[in-house]
Amino acid sequence: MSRHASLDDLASFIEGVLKPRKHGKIAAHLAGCSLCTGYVQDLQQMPVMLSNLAFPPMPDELSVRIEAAIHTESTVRVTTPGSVSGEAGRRDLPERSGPTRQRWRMPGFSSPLAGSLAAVGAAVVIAGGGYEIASHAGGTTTTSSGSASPAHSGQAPAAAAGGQRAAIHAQNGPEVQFRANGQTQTAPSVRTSTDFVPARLQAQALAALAYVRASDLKAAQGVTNASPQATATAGGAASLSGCVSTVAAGRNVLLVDIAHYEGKVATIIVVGKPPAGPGTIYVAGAGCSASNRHILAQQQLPVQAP
Amino acid sequence: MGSRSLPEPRLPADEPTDADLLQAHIDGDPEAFGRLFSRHRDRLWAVAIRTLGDPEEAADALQDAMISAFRRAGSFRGDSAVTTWLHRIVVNAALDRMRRRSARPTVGGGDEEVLDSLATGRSPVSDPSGATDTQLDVLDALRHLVPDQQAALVLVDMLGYSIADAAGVLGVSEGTVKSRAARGRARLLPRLAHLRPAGAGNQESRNRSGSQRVLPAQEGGEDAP
Repeated sequence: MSRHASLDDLASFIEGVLKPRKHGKIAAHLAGCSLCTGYVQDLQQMPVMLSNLAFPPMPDELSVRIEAAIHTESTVRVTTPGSVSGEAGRRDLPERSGPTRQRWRMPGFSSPLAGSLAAVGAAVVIAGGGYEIASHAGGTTTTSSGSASPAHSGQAPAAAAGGQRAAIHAQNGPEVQFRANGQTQTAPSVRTSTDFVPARLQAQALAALAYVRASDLKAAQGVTNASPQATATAGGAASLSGCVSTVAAGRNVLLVDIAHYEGKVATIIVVGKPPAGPGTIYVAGAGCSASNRHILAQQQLPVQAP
Repeated sequence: MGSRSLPEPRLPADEPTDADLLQAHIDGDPEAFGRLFSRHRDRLWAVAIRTLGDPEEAADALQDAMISAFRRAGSFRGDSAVTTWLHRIVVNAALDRMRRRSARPTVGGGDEEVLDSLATGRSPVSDPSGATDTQLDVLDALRHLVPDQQAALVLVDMLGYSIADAAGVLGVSEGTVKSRAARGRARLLPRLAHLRPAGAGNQESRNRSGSQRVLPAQEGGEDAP
């Protein structure tokens, strides 16, 4: 009997990548060697075994983190002069995604992010299309671009100026009270100049949720410096609280964004189980109150890949 | 073995194609890249987690890759599908991490936990016992492959991509993909010899004589043709 073949040669034989002469030698050897034939069978089974290995699916948390990083890139891209589509303007950016990078943890480990969300039960969320962010937290205004122009109801300054990219500002809205887990909880609301639209509702809501996590904006529990404009359009804090309580129906509130939906004043409310559980987006119209939900649209989160 | 082609999700007629989205992103659309990511994220994650094993490293690699793709979109030449391009960036990010990892000494301890969580998809804290021995053995064996071989096995064997698609992603010839996959399987087999289904042929004798004969060859030469 001829010499046994090495596993390398047998595996290469199966793939048909051996030179013809060697291929022929191994074929001849296999005809009379049950040992090597057995290895060939084992090697042929290997793809089956490998394809059956179970791996964890992509955690929602990671998806959110990466979407946040992408939106942060968008922000930087727009606010860096001359860098809109060229490579040059971006070359000096840090390779890492900067301050928003968060160490991801397996669900079950304590994460600072999960902690802050779970503890507060709600989150201040900023930005829809994701450009220039301005937020009021505890009376301090910060913006990513250094300009601190306050947001006004339904106004998107850059869009108004004819720019392709709307600068989206956001600031705290009134504090919202809602019932969850059998007790009254408070959640801050936020006002963005996002005009939510049906086709992009999930993406816009995800972007908003992503931002709160990326910016790690602590939901400023007890913030009371709601701006006058904030209370004006949505019928006041009391009405807003009634609306949110009714819509949330005992679930945790992740996002209350007093914004627009198809050009009309609307409150976008995201409820669910933070941070990884399923959620629902509700779009409540201007008539939303404790006794009338006035839901204009409703969609599930997270968005599954198409 | 299955050879599924690089997945292109079926899109409704009014949905932009991947190429449309990438172009929109280059033109400044702030949401286009995010849509591209959510369209492919599960497959890209599948590549990263299978290549790296460690969920945290896979997460970091995927994030690095997406930011890199975001920034380099302008240099995409359109000579491959957008999906192929995205896969390539993820594979490269994962391989970079593998090489860095193999350059530093192995840290003892904690491995069991990582493998547990890997195989079960749950945190080791919440489920200490879920992983099967088979999975742990295979995962452990995979870590002994050189990165190029592992990348080939991830794409071809684990994910079932065609040789042609894998070659496109890896930027090498189809013959090279086949060679790498073959060598990878040859290296894995001795480490998994005990996993053969019971009662398969002349298992006893193959186990004994096989591992003695074959193992030295495994440690031998790496990158031939």
